[in-house]
Amino acid sequence: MERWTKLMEPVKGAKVVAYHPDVIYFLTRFGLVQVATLEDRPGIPPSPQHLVQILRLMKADGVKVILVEPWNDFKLAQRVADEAGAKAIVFATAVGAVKGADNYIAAIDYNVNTLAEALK
Amino acid sequence: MAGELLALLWAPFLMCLVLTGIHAYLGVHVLSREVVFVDIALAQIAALGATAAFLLGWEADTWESYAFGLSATFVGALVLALTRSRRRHVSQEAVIGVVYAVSSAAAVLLADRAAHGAEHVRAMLVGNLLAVRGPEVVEVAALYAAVGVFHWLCRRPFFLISTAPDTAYREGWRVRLWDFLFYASFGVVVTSSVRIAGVLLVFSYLIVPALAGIMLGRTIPAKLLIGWGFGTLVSVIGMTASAAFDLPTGATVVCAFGLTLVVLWVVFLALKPAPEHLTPST
Repeated sequence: MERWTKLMEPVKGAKVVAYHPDVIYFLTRFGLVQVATLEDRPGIPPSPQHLVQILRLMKADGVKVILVEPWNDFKLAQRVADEAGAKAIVFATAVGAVKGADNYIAAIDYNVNTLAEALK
Repeated sequence: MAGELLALLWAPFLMCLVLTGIHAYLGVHVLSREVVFVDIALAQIAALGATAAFLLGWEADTWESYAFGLSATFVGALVLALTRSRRRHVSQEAVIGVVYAVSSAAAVLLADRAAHGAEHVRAMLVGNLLAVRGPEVVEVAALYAAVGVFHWLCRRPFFLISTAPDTAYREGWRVRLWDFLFYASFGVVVTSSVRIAGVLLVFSYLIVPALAGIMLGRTIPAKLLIGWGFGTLVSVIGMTASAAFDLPTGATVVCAFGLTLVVLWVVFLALKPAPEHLTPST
């Protein structure tokens, strides 16, 4: 825990966009701010107007990262991230969600390391 | 806002035109052959192949995953070609139904072994037009142009088998071989279209413009021109409605296809000369 807190300390307060609003507890724990979700209505693909608003917000707030759950549309997140000068990264929402996240500790480890690196 | 929407939507719109180009043409074949759900069955087989690739460690966007999907589709094409018989004891649609059900069930069995497997299968079939970018439009247009050239070279057997299979048998064409080539090339298109646009949108691009073409045109070139025009018009209407009314793009284009077809049907009925009343002969 101490190691994770230390790793995330330099990026505390950074703003991020999530694809789906299910990473909020993790973000709150490490002092990160979720400014928007790519999906405006859960389970429904985002509309063009919503994506335009997200792009404006990301550029205005200097958002560097879009967090994408493994089952959500990474390709769309990547397009939005590229246009906003950010990075789309996969967030391990469960054990086994990404390669190497074979247990709970490994999943959190993956999330902390990936986010800390992307937000540098 | 309009400029930003345009920047976001130009590549998806061009992709819609590419989809119209190949699918309206293939739709004319599919409607003549009465195998309307063949694209859904082949898409499901492609999803099964990609799920197998996913289990072996290849993510959905890799070329390995595409190769697995395509190989599975070729097996499906073989099944469809081999199950055609000259005397039709059962409709080809029955075989298509079985192929769909079995490949869906097999995908569930495979997905059962992977974390988020079910979501993976769903994602394979949903697609998202808004994720499309310029370079992808060029790649897909080149691939479909190659398929188009192949179909142009094979146009005589393909159209003969679609529209007059008995004549094709009589003239000695190897119908099963040509059927395999038809379904295999169809599979190449469906595998990549479904990844981009999802099953519903691909189904709409395949069937609705071709229906409009068959409703209004008599010759193959007329049917194709009407289908292409109709597909382009509906793409414009659907994309504009999606941008103006803040709606998800794929679903809006599909509904635009449905509504426009209803309007076309009403106009068609209104303009069609009334049939003469039949009077009993004396």
